[in-house]
Amino acid sequence: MASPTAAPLPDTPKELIKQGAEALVYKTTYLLPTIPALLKLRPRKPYRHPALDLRLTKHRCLSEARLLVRARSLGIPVPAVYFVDEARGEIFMEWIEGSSVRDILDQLLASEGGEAAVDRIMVRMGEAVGKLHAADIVHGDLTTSNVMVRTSRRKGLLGGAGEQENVDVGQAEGELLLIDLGLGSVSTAEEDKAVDLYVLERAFLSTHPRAERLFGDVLEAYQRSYKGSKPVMRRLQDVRMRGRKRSMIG
Amino acid sequence: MSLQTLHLEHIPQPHAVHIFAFKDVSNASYLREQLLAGNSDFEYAFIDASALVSTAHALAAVHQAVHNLLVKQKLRTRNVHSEIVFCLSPNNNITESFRRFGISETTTSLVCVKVSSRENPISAEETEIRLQQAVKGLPAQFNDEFMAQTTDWAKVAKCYKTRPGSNGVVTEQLELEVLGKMVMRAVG
Repeated sequence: MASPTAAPLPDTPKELIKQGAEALVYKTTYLLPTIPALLKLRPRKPYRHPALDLRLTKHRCLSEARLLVRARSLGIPVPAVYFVDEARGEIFMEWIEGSSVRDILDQLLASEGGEAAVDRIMVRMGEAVGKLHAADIVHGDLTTSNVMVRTSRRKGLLGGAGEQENVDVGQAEGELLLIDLGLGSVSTAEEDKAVDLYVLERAFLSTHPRAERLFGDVLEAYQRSYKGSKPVMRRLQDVRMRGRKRSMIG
Repeated sequence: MSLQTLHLEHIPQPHAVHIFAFKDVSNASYLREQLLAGNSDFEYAFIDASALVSTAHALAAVHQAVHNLLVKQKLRTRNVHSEIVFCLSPNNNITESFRRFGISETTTSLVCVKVSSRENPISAEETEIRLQQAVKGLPAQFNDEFMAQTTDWAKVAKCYKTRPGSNGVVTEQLELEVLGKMVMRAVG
C-alpha cells in the first residue's frame, strides 16, 4: 500500500494521449529511454471515500492486468503488460504503433480500392474476437475504437538499442490487437459474449454507415475460429431484439 | 570498462543501477557462502546468467525490486538486492527463486547488480573495484549478445514453463512471455 511518505518518483516524461472516464492514457518509456510504453493511469477520485477509492482502483487495475496477461499467454492478440502498480493505479504496457480500426476504416473506405483491404481486416477482427471468446474472456467494450492495427513494429529485443528497426507493414496488413480490457471479465455465459458482438455491431452501424455488410464478414470469421459460437449466435438474435440490457421484469 | 551504470525510467536519480557481468566464474561457491552468511560486504544481486534471456529481463527485475523498496516500502526478502533475484521468479517461493535465479555452486556466468541509494551512495568505480576483487572470473559486456550466449534454454523453459527448443535464439515473443510471467506473480 502506498503510504503518504512514499518517496516520490521522478517525472520521466510522459505525454497525455487520451482521457477516458476512468483512466488517463500516457505515452512514456519503461526501463530505458529507448523502450516506448503506454501508461494507463487510474487517478484518485476525490469524491470517493479514500478507502473505497483505493480498493476499487486496485481491483480494476489488477483485473485488467490479469486479463491481459492471461489473454496473451493464450495467444490472443493483446498488448503485453510490462509492469503494474495497483496501489497507484498504474499499468505499463507495450506501446503499439498504429491506429484504431475505426480511423483506418474511414480512410480505407474513402479511398479507391480500399474494399479488399477492409475485407481482410474484418476477417482478422472476427478471428481475434473468436479466439477471445473461445478462451472465455469477454471484452466488455468491444468497439472499432478498441481494436488497433499495428502499422509499424519494433524488431529485436527490448533492451537492444542498436538493432531496433521499425518494419512498416501498411494499414491493411498490420497485426490486429484488442485493446482496453478495462471492462473485461471471464465468463462462459453466451449472453455476455453475444452482448460483446452486439456492441461491436452497433459500433459498426453508428460510425460506418456504409460498412453495414462488413459486420457479416466479421461474424463469419468469428464462427470459423470459435467452435462454440452457435449458441452465441442464437443469443445474438435475442440481444438484437431487446438491446444490450436484459429485461429485469419477472 | 565492462561495468554499466543505468538510470532506469521512473526510478529516482540517486538509485543508480550498476551492472557487471562475468563469465568463467570459478569461485561461485565462495560467493554463495558469503551471501548465506549475510556478509554485508557482498551485498549484490548475483544472478545466474543462464536463467536470463535478455538484458530487459534483468532490468525488469531490478525495476520491480527498486519499486517495491521505494513505493510499496515493503520488501519480501532481506534487502533490495535479494529482492531483485526474487523478482525474477514466476512464483512466490523465495527459497526456490534464490536456487533457480541466484548464484549456485555450478554458476559460471554471472550478472552482478548493485543499486546505489541516497543513504548509501556507491559509485560505479568503487563497485567495479570491489566486484573485481570479490569475483574470480572474466569481465564481460552486459548486453543481449552475452545473454544469448549464456542462456540455458532447458533451464528457462523449466523455470518459466515456456516451450523449450528456441534454437538458442531469443525471440521478442519469448522475452515478452517471460516478462509477463514475472508481472503475473507481482499482480497475483
